[in-house]
Amino acid sequence: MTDYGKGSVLGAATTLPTTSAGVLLLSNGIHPMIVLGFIIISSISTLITISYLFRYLKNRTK
Amino acid sequence: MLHCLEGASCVRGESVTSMRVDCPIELLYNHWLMFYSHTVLLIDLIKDYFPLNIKRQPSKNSYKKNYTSAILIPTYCPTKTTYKLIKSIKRWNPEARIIIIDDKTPLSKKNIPVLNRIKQFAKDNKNIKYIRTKNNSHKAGALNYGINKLLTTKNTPQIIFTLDDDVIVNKDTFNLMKKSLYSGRKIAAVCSFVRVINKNVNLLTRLQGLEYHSFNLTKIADNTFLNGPLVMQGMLTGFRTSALKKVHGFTIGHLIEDYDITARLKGKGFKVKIEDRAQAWTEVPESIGNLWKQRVRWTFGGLEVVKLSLNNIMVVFQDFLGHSIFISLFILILLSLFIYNGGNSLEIEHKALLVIIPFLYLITSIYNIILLTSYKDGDWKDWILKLSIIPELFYSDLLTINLIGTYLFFIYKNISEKLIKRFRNLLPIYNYGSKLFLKLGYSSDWGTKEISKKGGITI
Repeated sequence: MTDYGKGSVLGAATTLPTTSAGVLLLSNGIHPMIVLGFIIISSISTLITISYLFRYLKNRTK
Repeated sequence: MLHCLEGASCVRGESVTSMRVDCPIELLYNHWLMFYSHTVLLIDLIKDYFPLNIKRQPSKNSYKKNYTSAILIPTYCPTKTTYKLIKSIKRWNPEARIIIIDDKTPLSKKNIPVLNRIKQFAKDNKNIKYIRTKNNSHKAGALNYGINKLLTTKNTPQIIFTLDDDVIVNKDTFNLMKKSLYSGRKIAAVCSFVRVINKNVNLLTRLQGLEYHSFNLTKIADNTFLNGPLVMQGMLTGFRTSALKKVHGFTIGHLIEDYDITARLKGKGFKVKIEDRAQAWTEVPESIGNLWKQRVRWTFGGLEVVKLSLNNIMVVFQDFLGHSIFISLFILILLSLFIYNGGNSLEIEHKALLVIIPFLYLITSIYNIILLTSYKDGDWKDWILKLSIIPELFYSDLLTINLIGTYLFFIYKNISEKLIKRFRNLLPIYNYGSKLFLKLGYSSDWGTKEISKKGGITI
């Protein structure tokens, strides 16, 4: 079976910011632009996950 | 002038407008009568003048039981499971037309007994046909061979189901998919809900079981988004024959022909969907080596589809978005290793991240709880696995490394193949590089059956 959904690439893309950004926060001296980049990506990831959640709840067969 | 309707409080055919009104309730009632009769007339007028607008609305019950269908089962080195699958389809769908496409299985001692049983079963049932390809043409080629056979017969079916030869289906799987396929005018393909047979074998299969369930939820979420889910999986999908004809069947030689055909169907303006009540079971790789090869095949094949769809990116939007976010993130991580700011990061940015990250974690946790509560095959071990986070973190790290390697392999293949066309002298270097990638587990020839049965064949 082939699939290519949230579980693989998009999954990694939407869950990785939590861990990677968290690890980076622990280290000092991160450039403000990089932190800003993480803020943008984390925000997009959050929106994607919320969107999936709502669409699933709307579409599932009751 | 309107006349009283039956039951109205008027005397011997008096017109509504000239009726004597005794109380406010009667007045209200008469007004309602007038409104009702006018509305009925108006609807009649609209129906008369704009009949097409009414008929264009797709009916949820447009499915007719007499839609003809055929089930294509391409197989290479079939097993007992293949035979059982054919028997179960026949038992639950006695009128189903089944075509088994043997993709030139080697006639070895091991394969002949199963092939003979399948051939005999086909002989005993007039609706079952066994055909054999002239050359091994991989899954897409075998499917096209079967489709061509169907298109040249007198009774071309309206629906064609394609499935793997190691699948297990439910009694009502095909009927539910047929109904779903005709639930909308533009729906070209419907895939099944996937469940994992061997999820309890080891930790890896459990993690894949959870992951496959997440695939299902994503597809359900995508049912109403951008013409439907990203992939109509090859494991079990039903197509309208007319749609298959429009896209000229499957692309031969493609690593993941199912994703490719889904993108091409969407490109032609069709919609696709998952039918979450139509269940089918499959097996997942039980070792890291096999999982690795499977994911290289998916990712490499997926990148090929994205590359071919760059002029119509919306058909692969979810995938494009995933790759874009992942690559951006990866670049940021790399940059953070080299760009040092002497500990002068802005306070406000850190605070913003500290708000966003727990929020993202909260949303992901809600998603996971919904995933677990809707997971029919799940047990307490799956809950522990999911909530303890660590095993999934290792699993996603493994897939992340696989993904990064596939990106490099994809870039290497694309650039070097272009260079070789111009500079033939570079061929030995290219071959050396390919061997190196092969040693690391990267090849553009990995196939599911190849892993478990025989080398060099993708089916």
